[in-house]
Amino acid sequence: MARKQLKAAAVTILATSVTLAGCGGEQPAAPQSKGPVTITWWSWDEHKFLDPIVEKFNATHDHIKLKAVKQADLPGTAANLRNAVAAKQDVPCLVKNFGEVPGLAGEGLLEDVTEEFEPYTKKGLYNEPAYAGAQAGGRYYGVPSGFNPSFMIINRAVYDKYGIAPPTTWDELIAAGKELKKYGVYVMNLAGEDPSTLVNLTQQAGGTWYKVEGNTWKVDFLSPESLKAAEVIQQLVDNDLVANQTYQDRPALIAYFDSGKMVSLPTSTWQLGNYELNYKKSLGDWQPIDLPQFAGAPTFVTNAHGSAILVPKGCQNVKEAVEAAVWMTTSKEAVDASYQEDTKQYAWPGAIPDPSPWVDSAVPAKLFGERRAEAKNVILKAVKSARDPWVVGPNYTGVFTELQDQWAQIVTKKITVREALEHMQKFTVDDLKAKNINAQG
Amino acid sequence: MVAPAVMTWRRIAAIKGASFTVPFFLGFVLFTVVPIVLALRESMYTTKSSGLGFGEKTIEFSGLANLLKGVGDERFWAGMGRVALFAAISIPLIQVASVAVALLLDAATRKVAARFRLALLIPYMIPGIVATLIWIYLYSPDVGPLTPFFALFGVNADFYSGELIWVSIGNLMAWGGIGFNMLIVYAALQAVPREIFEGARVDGASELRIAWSIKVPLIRRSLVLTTVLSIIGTLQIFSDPMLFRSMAPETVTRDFTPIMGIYDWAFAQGDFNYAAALSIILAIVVGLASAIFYRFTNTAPTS
Amino acid sequence: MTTTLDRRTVTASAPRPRVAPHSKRTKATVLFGLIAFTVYSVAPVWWLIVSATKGQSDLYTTNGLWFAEFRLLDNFRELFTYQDGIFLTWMWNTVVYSLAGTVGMTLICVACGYGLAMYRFRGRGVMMGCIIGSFLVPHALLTIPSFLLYTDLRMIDTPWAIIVPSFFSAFSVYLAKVYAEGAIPHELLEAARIDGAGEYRIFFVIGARLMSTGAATIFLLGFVGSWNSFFGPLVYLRSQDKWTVMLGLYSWLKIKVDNSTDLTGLVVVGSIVSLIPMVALMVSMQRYWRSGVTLGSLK
Repeated sequence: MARKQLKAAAVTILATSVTLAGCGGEQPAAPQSKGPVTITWWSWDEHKFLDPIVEKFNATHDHIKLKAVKQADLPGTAANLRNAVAAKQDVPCLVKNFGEVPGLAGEGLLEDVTEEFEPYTKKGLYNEPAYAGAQAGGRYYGVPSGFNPSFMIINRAVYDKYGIAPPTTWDELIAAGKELKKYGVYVMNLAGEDPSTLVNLTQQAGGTWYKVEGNTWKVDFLSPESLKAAEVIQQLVDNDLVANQTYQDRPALIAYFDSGKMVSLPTSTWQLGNYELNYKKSLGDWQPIDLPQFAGAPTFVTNAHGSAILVPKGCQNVKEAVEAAVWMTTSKEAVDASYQEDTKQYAWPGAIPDPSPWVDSAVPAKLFGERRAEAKNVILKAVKSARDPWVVGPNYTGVFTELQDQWAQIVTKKITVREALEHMQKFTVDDLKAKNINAQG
Repeated sequence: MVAPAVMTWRRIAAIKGASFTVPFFLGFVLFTVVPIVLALRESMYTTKSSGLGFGEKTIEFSGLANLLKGVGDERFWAGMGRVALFAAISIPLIQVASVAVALLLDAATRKVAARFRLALLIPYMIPGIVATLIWIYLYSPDVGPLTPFFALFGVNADFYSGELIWVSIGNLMAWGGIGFNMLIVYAALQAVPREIFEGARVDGASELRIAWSIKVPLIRRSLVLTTVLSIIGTLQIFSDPMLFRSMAPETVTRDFTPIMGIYDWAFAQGDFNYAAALSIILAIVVGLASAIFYRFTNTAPTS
Repeated sequence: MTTTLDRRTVTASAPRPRVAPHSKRTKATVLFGLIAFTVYSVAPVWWLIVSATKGQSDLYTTNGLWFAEFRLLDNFRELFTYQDGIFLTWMWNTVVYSLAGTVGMTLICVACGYGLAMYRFRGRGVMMGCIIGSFLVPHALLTIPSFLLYTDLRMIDTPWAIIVPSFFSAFSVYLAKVYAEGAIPHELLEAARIDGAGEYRIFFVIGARLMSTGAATIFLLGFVGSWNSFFGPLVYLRSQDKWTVMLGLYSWLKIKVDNSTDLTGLVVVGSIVSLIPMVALMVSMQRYWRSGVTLGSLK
């Protein structure tokens, strides 16, 4: 009889569980070895990007040796780090960022490195807006790796064809969208799975959804800045000015962008090479322009939320790990070592105050045609005008998946942006409280 | 009464018989039972943060609290209902198709069968990530061939839309799964001694009749097995709907299916304890569904 | 060829009049049905083949169902030279892990299934309960506990973490049991016992032979499963030179998500190359589906 057997199975399992309960042991820490300290660095970048940096570092450092371990992809890195931290064994000391630092710190995956990193902040090595991306609740849990400057590229050939001027504000972009719609052209793409446009606009407006007040999180999805961002999105959606191409269907996405039916892309330096590689028909038609501003903004601002090289909890050599990461993110040697022969590009040095020596290499040869020279100024202006007011809380990983669900409802017109934000407000506060974290809002 | 000598002889045979299972069960206990038990333990604890949520966490024993919370979790059960409905429709279709292919192969002459067998197994050999790559293209309403194909018949088919999502997922599962089921059923068919059919053929029974009245009953155990595996696999469906989360995100929410919900709780919401409790509930539901099916087909799985 | 002949001599003693489906209509129906299913199975692969001949810049922008500039040879060259030929390392690793794991699995699981099917002993019901119970457990639940266990066993980042756990497949045991029940008549074992054969001898001489179709199926399913699995390698293998081909292709496919490189072209060619060992295996195992050894031949 099936039932009887299942019951028997359950009993055996329970019996074994009692015996096992006693023997979940802790691993003893590995003894410190003499000689150079080896720092293990996990990243899912290809070896051709990692190896030159590791070689350069090891050639110039005696007391620390860097060792790169290639991970399969972002979710794979996340899974492996969770496992390693739980096992408390062979924990790497540096990991490429796979989320928002506060979310990961809230999960207990990261080491507080404030003490080790603070001295470097006084040396002027970093661009000011780069710092926030490595912090959670005012403490450092990694080394800032900086940000990618935000700007926009437009299909100038299509804009010109219909006699529309490139937008300088979001209102102008909406107006351009209304004009383009008459010709069956969408002004922008809002992928249904990716709410980052809402996040970016909120950042550009100077807003944030979380704030620390004393020992409490103040959650505010309905701040004036957030609502300003919401208004832009709402107009784009309500007037049917945007396409909703998913990133997953890559052939369709590329073909669509290439076809001239979608003509403005908020973007950043790292994506340019990809456009150059995959576009065909529209190569040379694109123009880099400054990121559109909110009407009446007192100064030119671009959103720029930085990232970090993570230092996981259980790293045995935090001091050396921080030293190596600072070298990777700020030294000229490291940037120069990132040069790739085939694409003639350097990795974008997003953390340092003045990336101008490397800007030119970030701009591909054919994408912008004869407007290629304009890219340099657009990019440098974006770097100089970068602000990072963005703070997130320890439950942001989960909040983000909920936001994705809400965002999909927004772009398919099932709910308004405001309704989504109201929902997020309640969800976030309830979730923080359920985790026994101090929150109000 | 059995003579004592026979008793011991039987005993020894039984012990020797049991010894065939020893290597497997040693490994099974270590690599399957132990992790399950460790995971079950997780469900009985609750992890709490404090302050701003970045400090050390406290872990408290909470008994069945997580399980009870899961029993009352409406979003989780909504996902379960969705998947159960899908299973009720898709499994019979896929099973019938698999058996049909196996029977066709079995009915064909040896030469013909050899020619088709490999081709029929190609989808099964193609790894999931590549199958996904292929079908993303075929389904694509913008560049794929299927939407224009159906338009020829006046059918407006957008395989990425929320309405067709289950059709798209079902077809993806069928394409990759029929070969697997077919192989199991076909192997069982081939193991059946041929003499059994020949008599019927000589008596003039049609192939269809032989298939339905003789072959199918003979391979019933294999059919039950593939069906139960399908029930388990379908109720635990994850990667296919996860893919369509990008295509139709307004329909495919983060907890669209039970396993998607479990992943979200464990790795996004960061509550591994609750995720473990939900896994147990899911395992119980899947177990009940399988048990009902076994009861229905009158084949006790453990005998 | 010689092995095929061997087998034929085994079956020869009981001539099997393989009567072809009698009416022409039946024959046509069978053929039509097979063709329909084959088209459904194979047609989608057309895209893969066409894509394998394209360069990266044609991959997204030209018609997916027809050829553009023919770059198949360049794609092969790039596949085999990328990162010092790491693809070949992955292929070799996968062959080793899959063969070692599947051979061990087939031996252990077929023996276990045979034992469960042919003998009545105490604890048998509990064992079957555990096997079926283990199907029901969602694997998401087991990632972290399994990792902690493998860490304690010092198996992380060694091939053993992939090979050894794959020996113990509950599904294969169940399958073996089902096949054993279908293929081995109890009376035959009784007869052998009366002849004085020991239990182990009976297994190797009669049981294993009668289960050859089943065992071959178990081996094949196990091999394909292990060839295509990437979750285990993803979690338990650290260094890239120990990876399997599926994990490697997966990482190539994902590169484009946040990187300026796009290796989808390599994934397409690589996935076709990675099919070759599986196809070769299937072809070489065709003879096991020639239908099982008939009962008469063993009596």
